[in-house]
Amino acid sequence: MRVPLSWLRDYVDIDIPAEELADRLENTGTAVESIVRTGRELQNILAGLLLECSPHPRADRLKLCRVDVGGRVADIVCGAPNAAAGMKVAVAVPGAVLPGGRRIERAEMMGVTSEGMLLSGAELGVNDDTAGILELPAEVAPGEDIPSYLGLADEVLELEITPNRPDCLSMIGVAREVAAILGLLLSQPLPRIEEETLPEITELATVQIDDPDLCSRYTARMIRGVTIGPSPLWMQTRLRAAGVRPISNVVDITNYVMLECGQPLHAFDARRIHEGHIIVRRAKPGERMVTLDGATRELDPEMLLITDPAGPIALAGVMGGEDSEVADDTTDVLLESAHFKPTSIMRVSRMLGLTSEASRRFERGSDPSGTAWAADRAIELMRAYAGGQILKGTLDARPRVIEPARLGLRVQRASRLLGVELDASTAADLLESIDIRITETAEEGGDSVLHAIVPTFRPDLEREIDLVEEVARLYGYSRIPSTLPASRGRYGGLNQEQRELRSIKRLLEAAGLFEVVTYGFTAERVLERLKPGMARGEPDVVRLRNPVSDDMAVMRTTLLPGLLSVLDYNLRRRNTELGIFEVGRVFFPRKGRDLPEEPLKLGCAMGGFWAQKQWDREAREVDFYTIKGIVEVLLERLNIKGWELLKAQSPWLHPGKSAAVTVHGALLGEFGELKPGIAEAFEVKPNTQVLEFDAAALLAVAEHLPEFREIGRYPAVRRDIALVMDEGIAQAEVDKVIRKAGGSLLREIGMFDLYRGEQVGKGKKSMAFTLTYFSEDRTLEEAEISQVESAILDALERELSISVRS
Amino acid sequence: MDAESGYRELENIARRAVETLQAVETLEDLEHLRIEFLGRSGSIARLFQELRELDSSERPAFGKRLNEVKKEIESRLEAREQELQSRLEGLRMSRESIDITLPGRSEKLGRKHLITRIIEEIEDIFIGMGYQLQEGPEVETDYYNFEALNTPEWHPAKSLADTFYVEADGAKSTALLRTHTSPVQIRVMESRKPPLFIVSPGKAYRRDVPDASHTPMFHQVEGFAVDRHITLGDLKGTLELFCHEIFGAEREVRFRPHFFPFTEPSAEVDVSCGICEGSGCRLCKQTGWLEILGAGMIDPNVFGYVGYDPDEYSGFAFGVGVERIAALKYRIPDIRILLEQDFRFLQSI
Repeated sequence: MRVPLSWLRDYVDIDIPAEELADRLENTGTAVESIVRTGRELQNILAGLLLECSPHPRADRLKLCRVDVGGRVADIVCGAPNAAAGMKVAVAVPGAVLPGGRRIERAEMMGVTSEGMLLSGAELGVNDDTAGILELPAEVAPGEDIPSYLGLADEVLELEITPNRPDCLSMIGVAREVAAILGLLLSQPLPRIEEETLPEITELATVQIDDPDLCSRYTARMIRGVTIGPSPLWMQTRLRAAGVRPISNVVDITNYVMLECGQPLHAFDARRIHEGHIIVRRAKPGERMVTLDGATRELDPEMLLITDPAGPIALAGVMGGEDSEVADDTTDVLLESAHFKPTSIMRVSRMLGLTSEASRRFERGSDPSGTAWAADRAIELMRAYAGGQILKGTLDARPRVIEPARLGLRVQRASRLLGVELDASTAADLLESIDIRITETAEEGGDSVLHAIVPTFRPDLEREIDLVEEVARLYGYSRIPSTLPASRGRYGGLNQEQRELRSIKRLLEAAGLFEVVTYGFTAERVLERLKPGMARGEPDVVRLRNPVSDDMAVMRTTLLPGLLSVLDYNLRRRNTELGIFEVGRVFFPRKGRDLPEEPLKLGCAMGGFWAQKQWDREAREVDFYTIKGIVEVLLERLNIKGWELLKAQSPWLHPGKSAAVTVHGALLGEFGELKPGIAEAFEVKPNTQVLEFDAAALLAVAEHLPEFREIGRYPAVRRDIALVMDEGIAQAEVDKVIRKAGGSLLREIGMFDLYRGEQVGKGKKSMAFTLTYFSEDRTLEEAEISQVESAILDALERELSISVRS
Repeated sequence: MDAESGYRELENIARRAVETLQAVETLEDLEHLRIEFLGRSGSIARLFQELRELDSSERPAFGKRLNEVKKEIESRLEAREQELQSRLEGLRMSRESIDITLPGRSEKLGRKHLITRIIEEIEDIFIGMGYQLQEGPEVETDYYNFEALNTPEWHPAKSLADTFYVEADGAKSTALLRTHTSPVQIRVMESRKPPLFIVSPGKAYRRDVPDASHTPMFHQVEGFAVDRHITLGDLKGTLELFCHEIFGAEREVRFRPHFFPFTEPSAEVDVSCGICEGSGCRLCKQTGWLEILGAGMIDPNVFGYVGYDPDEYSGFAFGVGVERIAALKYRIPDIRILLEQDFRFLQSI
């Protein structure tokens, strides 16, 4: 809502600078987005009387004009076809500054000196007319300062009006707020109607409301014999400052009055209304009409129409019809000032994708008591600026009177809610400042209750709490002391799961991975690429009804789409050493339930180099064991015991370079290298490794309180063994045999070498281990260790035919 | 040897020892001197031999002096040896010096995302004030996301243009992607009784066209407190403390009345601009203030949906935009970078 201060001053004597006013409005709930100063740059633009117009000696299209600019005469060359002696014009004298900063100086034009320039409406910024110079009213005196005469120098407040305050979509509404805040009086103009004695409007027009639910009141006035033309310049200037384009006197007046009081008005060409009979009714099925934007609209019984016996003439509250709109040859106007049900207007405007200044106001709630004032005000202005005669009387169909709300405000209760001690008279004064009437203050139930009558222009005030808010904002939030809630023995903190999720993230960042945050939605084709079996239309994915694009059309069922797209994005930007993780939800529909399942997943991805070559170290490429290292760190730090690796099932994993992690049969997740085809499709490195664990499964088997185990004071003994075995034997098998045979003295097995080659022969490999022994109660003897070691070697030989490497 | 010549020689030895020990420059020469003075056939040993020739009455005094000189030479020898040793070590170490400016060795370190770190920072501030953490689903019903939050059926936020809806499986579904984290208020109040002091971080979705301050998915931290006697003053105090913790105690905080369907009275909260300190600049659009969150007293209608008596309980709620906080705190001009995941960004902040 754009509010020119010069306009606002018609209703309230603002005596403070614009910035201060903006602050006061902000602090009482009317946000000020900006203060725009218009016309400040304008200089040396004066009113002039064109004394004489003669042809230019050397140019047909130019005229030599002698202009009285107040006390002196200027010779000005002008090309406007409409320049003629006797006109009052706007003159930019040398040194003038026009809108946009354009400067005007003395200039030579085809051999003649021009002492300035005569201005068009467009050059002056009052309208779009570029065809000729602007003609000013005869009343203006030569030499008068045009910017101040036309009110071009102004301050305009750009207000953000919240949807609950339709009353503030008007100058008077804002003025009422300003008056309340500044403790000033609001003066509302009283229309003075000079109407004909005859005929009565009732002889020429009738109104019938068929749907009182959607239209509680329809007020109409008529004026005959108007002349359509431009509206007065001051009105055009105000409309422009408020952001509305001037059209013609009659239309401008309906807009002007709407901006002034918030009541949308519609002017019909009265001759186009069949039988002068207006019927307000819902549309019939299959009915159509052409709106004034030229579009043919299919109507729906949800829509309220203004009709005549021949058919629709307007979409009530939203847009007029083409057939009945005011045109250049209109002479008789029927002016509509009605009240429509807000939700109905909103629905219709939504259905048709049509919004207008009128529909914006109706859908937030216009004042049902204000229709007559608005009609009087507009008809008064029409008579003044379009001529004609006002017919006697007003049509005012009002099948349903919307009464002002009566509310009670418990003052102590309000004080307790706000945290500040208010007395009844303070609260009453604040409410009365915005025209809420307090009829009595009663002591009821140990509280002082204000009985309030709420004016109908405040449809948002329906409950006691609404009055509490009015009191609070007018009292000033800044005057309410800041406190903290009493503690009542509460304590704050994370629960165990929340703590462990945080520590998982800490662990992964310490392991060298960067966290990413990706979208919850993805493209269906991306999921299909990952899970080739997933047929389109299968109900195993949550689809959006109104996605912004195909790329964001379904909810992810795995974190992979996001993770892989991050790798791809970074590779394209030549970023290397990529290791990432994400903790986020994935989504699976549940049969017969409204809401899907949303398991929390932990995902990692890495590809290319884990570390680049450095001055003292070789580059390390990512492989299966890089991601396995991450898995082991996680399992170890979460104290997850007894985990096993099984064959992975994920369709995107390389079957020979991947694994599923289970604990006692429960699946925690899977990890490993992407299938070559998948890596290629997602445009990531061929060695890309991924991991996806279920957070709940992980935390379910995590040992939150690991058992203390005595370590004793005796030194550990380390022995290395090198073994030769068949190629087909897995490290875990060897590990298991060693562990079993090593018994309680063997505390740690570290593998330090893996060798294949001539020294061990074809089809064989060698693994070397460091075995660590200690006892908590004694220093181990050489003989004791040798005994255990030979038991280990015997077992390896017996169970896996593994021999010691010689 | 008579006593006189004996004393003369002894003093000569002592003087010569002081002089030569001072002049010696290598450990090797020092060893020669040790032998010369203190060796088995050195000058001190020789005088001990000659001691026997002295008259028995002069022997104790001479012997005493002889021992003193011996001790003196020993300690000087030792001191000089230490001097030479440390000089030698110094020389050796200076030959060993390396280029200390070469890069050090370390393992890679990753980083939590800035959004996570801001969320944890916010969580921790409220945990410090006695709040607990509770999350809710990202796919919500119309009831929890709008209706029970007192958002009327016709509210524009519910339109297909603003809210993502989930495709229904035959029957009419009201499932949608939550447009804020506020539904958690309803879920918690439905299942628990006051006092409730809860923060709820998470993702939310709106059908916004991405620009410098909007992305179709964003993060919010909802917070609310419900108890007997919770006041608007409590809301102010709580959020002032929060703003000071996040942005610094020197920043001013103001509360402007505003409108939200689920709170009344409602407020928008601003902090004074950290760049211009309130005098007006481009970041704060010349206002001196930066809007950071919306808040208010929980609307009695909302209590109605969860069966709380608004005359018994009151409460406040607020919603903090995580990306907004990140943008303001770290002066990030375009929040889209937070979801782009460019490593150069992830590593830098």
